[in-house]
Amino acid sequence: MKITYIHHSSFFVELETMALLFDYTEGILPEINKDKPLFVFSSHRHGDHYSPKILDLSKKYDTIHLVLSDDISIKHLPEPIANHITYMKPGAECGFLLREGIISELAKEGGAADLEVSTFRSTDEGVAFIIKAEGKILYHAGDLNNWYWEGEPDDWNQNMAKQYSEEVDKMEGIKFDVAFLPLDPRQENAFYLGFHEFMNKNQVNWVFPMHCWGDFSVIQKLKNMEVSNPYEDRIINIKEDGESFIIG
Amino acid sequence: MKLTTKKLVLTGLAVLAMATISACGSKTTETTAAATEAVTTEATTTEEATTVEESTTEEATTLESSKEATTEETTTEAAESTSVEAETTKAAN
Repeated sequence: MKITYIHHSSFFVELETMALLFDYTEGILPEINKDKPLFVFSSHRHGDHYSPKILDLSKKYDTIHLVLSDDISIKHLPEPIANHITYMKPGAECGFLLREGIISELAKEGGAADLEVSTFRSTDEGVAFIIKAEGKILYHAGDLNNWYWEGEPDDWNQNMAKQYSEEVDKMEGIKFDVAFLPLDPRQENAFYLGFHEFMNKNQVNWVFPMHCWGDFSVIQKLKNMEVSNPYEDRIINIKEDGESFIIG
Repeated sequence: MKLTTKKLVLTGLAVLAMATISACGSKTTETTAAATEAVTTEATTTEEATTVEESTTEEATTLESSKEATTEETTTEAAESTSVEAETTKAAN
């Protein structure tokens, strides 16, 4: 599995039989076999997670399907892509089959899928995704995070923490191969809270920090904190846009 | 509100006085929707809106994963750090 950090919260994941693109807004995509099915995920409508540019990917890739949070509203939907979009609300599940270069969505309880998607409610807007494909499990948080802000009322922050914990607790027992988690320097001293809780509660082989706003120093900052000792070696130290990693 | 001012400064947003922010410091529902519509229109009416490009480098950092995520045995063997051509435009929401 090859993972390329595109920009902000966007990652490109190349598997054996398909490719996955998360929360693309800008940046350079790696060159891939255009015949390989491409799934494009957008966790919510905010401008740093969704761009209408993804609609134009259908001009470039023959087999493509978009999985969008249902808070994303698209006007003037281009005809070629209109039949290749699945909207998902929080707490939903769907599956897809790959057959002879065609992606087809499975009906509910339609049997084994080549790619399974389940969603969780973000503490901001939209959803977080869990993806199961080729025996691997990936998690992209979108904006599901403990958005603790200095200066907000205590009850606001407490409610935020509670909502975040409730969603993370729903994932108990899942063994993630890869997780993409927000690590936002704007939260100052609280920058690691959501990240740490997720890593503390779940089994994750590799974790990619995201939503860093270009300030990748927060990654080393977390690695240097004693609290991250149990998982610091599993944190990918992203240094720049376009960096690729091969997961063995 | 003190926090609102702080978040807006941090995100570099120029937002109308009545605007609020989301939990992650992104734009309001109203402003986000407006922005999306504008970009969508642009994307569907011009060819130039497609800005997805291909990279030319193949280097990658290889990570060997332990299957035991609950232990500290996982090793990170960085082969060589990549130097991939990439855009570095700061995102702003």
